[in-house]
Amino acid sequence: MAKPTHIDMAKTPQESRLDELIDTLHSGQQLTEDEMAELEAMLSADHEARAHYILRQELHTMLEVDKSVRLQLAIDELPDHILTDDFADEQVPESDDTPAPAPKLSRSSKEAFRMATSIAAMIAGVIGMLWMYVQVEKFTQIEAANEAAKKKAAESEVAAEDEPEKPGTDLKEMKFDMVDIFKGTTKLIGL
Amino acid sequence: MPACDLSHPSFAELIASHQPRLVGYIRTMIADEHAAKDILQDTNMALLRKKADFEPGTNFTAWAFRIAYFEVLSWRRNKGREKVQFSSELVEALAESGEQMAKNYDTRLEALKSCLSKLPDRQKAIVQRRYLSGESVQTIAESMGFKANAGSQLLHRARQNLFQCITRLTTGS
Repeated sequence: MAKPTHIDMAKTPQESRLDELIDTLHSGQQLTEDEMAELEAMLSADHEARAHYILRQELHTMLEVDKSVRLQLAIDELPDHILTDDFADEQVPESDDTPAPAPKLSRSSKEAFRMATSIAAMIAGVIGMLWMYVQVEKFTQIEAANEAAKKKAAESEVAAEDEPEKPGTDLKEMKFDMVDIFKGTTKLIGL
Repeated sequence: MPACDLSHPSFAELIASHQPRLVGYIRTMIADEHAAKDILQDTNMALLRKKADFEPGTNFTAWAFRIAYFEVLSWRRNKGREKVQFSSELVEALAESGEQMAKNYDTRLEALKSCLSKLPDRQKAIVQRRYLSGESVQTIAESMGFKANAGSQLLHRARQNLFQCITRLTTGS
């Protein structure tokens, strides 16, 4: 037997009883034989009671089964800030033709980017200086070797006038050993 | 028996979109939730079997309701003897009223969606948990800090408010 759930002063006792029986059905319980007979009597006698019963069954079914109603319930369940506050400061283009604003970096991203740029510039500067140093060093060695070769050639010019001149090292043959440069660079920056 | 052709999307869509109103219609005649779902499945099979009988452009709801009504009668003949059920006269009267009232189903559905947002917070919460999450009234009541009977009352008031709101919106009263 369904227990009375509440008293509604706007309804007659019979209407309240009809709602109680419908609520029992909607709670998933089976009505007893007496309750079914009671419900049958109410619905058979009164066209309005029948319409009320049908509409209440329909409402229960809409809530339980209809996808659009369930979607509405799910949307209502979302906290308001998810739908509004978080997006309050976002700039939304007014129409499809309006280009969206370029994505902006956050403050922390900007700091990190600035620091990375500085470090990269510093490393590039060190590599450049090292490269220049190696070039000058090699140039000096080649010049010294050339001078020594010329001097030696001049000294032996008379003694060995018929012998072919030995080729000296020339700037055109200068080769840069990039492996040495990078080894030097990594040592210099302490990696 | 006509071939069951599922390749007809509009027919399949019609059946799918009519599931809520079909089960609601069956429930009015069979006061048993589980039996109503079984009869809905039988009705769906019958609709597919009789697809060739349906003339596109005619009233699908009325046609589908008629088939559902015959499935209800069949269930009552075969399995309904074991259960307490309404008389044949009342089932016929409910079927007739149900078919008439189904004409404004879409209007009431739209009204319901509008009414849901107007419910007081606690009533809305219990409706969401009962119908969307499928929780029992007892579980919801316990988590909200009151007894099961008070939970049933709260849900009852929510349904009543929704019902009255739909009636106001659809009848203008």
